Amino acid sequence: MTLTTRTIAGLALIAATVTACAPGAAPTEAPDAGKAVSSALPTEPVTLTLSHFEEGGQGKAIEQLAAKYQQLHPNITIKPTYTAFADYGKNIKLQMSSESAPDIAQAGQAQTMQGPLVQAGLLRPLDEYAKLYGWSERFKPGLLDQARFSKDGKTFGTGELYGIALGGNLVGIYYNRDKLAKLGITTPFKDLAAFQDALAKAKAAGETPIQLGNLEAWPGNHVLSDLIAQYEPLENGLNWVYGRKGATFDSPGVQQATKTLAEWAKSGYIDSSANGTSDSDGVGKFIKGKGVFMVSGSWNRSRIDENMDGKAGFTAMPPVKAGDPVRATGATTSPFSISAKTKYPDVAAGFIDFMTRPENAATLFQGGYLPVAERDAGQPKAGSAQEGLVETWQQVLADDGLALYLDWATPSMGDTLFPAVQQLIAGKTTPDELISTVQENWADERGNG
Amino acid sequence: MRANSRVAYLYILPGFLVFALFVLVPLGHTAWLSLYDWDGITLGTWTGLDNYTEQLADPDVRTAFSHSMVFLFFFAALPIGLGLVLASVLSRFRLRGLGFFRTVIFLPQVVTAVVVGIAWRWMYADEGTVNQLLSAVGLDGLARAWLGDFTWALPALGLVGTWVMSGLCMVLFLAGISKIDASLYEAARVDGAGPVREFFAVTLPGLKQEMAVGLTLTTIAALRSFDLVYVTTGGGPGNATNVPGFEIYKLAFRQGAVGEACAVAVMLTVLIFTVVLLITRLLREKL
Repeated sequence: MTLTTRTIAGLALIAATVTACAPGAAPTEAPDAGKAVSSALPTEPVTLTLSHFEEGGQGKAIEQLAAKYQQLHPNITIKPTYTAFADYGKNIKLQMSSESAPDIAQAGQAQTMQGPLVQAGLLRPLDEYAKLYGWSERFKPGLLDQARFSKDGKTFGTGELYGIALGGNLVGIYYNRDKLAKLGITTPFKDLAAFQDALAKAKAAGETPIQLGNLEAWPGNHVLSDLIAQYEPLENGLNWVYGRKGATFDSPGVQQATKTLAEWAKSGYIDSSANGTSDSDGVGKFIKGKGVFMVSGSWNRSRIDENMDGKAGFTAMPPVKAGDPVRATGATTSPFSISAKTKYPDVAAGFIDFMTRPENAATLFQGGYLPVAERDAGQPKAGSAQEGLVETWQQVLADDGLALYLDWATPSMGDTLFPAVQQLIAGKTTPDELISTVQENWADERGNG
Repeated sequence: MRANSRVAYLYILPGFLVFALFVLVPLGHTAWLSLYDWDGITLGTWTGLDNYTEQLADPDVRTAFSHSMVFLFFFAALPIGLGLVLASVLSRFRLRGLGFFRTVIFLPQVVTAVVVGIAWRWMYADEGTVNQLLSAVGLDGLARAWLGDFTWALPALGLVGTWVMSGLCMVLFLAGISKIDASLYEAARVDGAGPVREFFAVTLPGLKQEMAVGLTLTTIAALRSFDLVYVTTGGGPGNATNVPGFEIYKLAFRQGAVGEACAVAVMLTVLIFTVVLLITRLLREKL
């Protein structure tokens, strides 16, 4: 017994001594802040580390570009290090604040990764490099805005630029060509009503209209956000995601979109096992022919093309009014940022510029990236889902019509919105309840921020 | 005496140092962090007990703790009951291949929780083994995607816990029964006790210590469960299978709310300590 009392006394003593200081560190200014930026490269040997979470072909493209860069500049070595996304997000803050922080690191937009890093002063603003290399001519404004943050790391979408992305991602409609032919459905859909007619037709024919694996809860949210992108004016949606004052989720467009999703679920348009099927298993079912359509993102494209070989296509979620510009849930891939601690910011910026130069667009495209900088990066295989995807991507980009991702709005938005979408699909919550839950989270987090 | 006990402490010292470094210090650190509003990276601000009051008022957190209570039934009560029955049956009859059965029933304990989770996720899927079995016996009407069902997801996960923990309890009790003096059984039989009477009069009292150990282990597994939820449902559908362990993960790693996460962690630790203390008090003192 004496031992435990002593332990408690000891712990209390430790507690008393440590309460004097708070955890974490105050933001520090970059060591060479204010020094003029330059595209000139050093002549001495330099090794830079680059942390990323790009898998498969996309990761390989980065390695190829690093090797190519070294051929051009033999004294410079870029060392890419891959970490699986699941671990990457958990470690990035620790990694970037450590003494051995990577010089270049991939940091997801919004509050997921970039926000806290900017707040802690661990990322270097890139505006001067953007001017130096002409990045604002290379990329559409919407693509750069995603990686902008206010200096205090609290509001994003405007402010200083903290990253440059290599490619894009996009949500739309995958379809099974054989089933469409059998049902007499043609794509692209001229408006949302045409798509809903196709869903009704598929249902009447005894098919599963929309395949969805929503066990992880986030896949269903992409169906909702793609609908919101049609019903809600783009500007309003972006203001909400960016967390601008006065924006609200409780708007006629969002209400209409949420109601539509609830009706789809009620009418049996969505696979009834959606909430109990994992995303990956859902894609597997679609490949095997269960489901005429699947509303999902470009990240599932290569698996679908590999397994369905020309039997799958991709088209945009159609606008409410025929002829309106194409809008879609989507964004750039997670941008690459420069550590505030790097000794060679000029070299790091030079390499980021190199990766996105027009002459390297083909390498990125072959790796599976949707091209952000160059229109004619390469030709997809005719009749593949990739063909439809690239076409849709170009249409959306031409008009700067990316709606971004809803869960970027606040750090806890995903954990609030995703379960609510599961409930909506199961008929356990109403559209109004979902909207008020989501808006409450937004207002709370904004209020604190 | 006094000098002796000092020497005894000296023997404990190396172990204690390791324990302190890897258990007590992190525990104290967690408690300390729980008093701050901290995102895990920038300078934290002192908030006292705010994190606790805020989390206690959060309906999601409360539901998570209530799900723990459901898990207590499936991870602790049910396996203890099953383990007792299995152990007394297996020890009563001289079965051929007893070692084989024991191994099979114990096997889930050996398999990593992640593998267990993924395997069960497939079995609970709409075209999975569970539904195939149901339709094989003509119960198609009951078939569903179990982990996506708001009513059944939690019990479905609970049953996985039962499956995992029952083997442990059985092996524990089998060992316990083999230690019970055979003459007690003989005496009971001479007195005309049947197998049921014998179980309650001899086996059960003789297993008190093993019960305490079994209950402690299973209770801790129930309350701190995280991996099973993480690999199967991620707390869904909705929040139907969210548990405190998963809530801590969400707060700390997904939402960057380290202070709040630590507050929930401290509350969970206190709860586990209290329950385990109760179990040991109740079952040890009457020995």
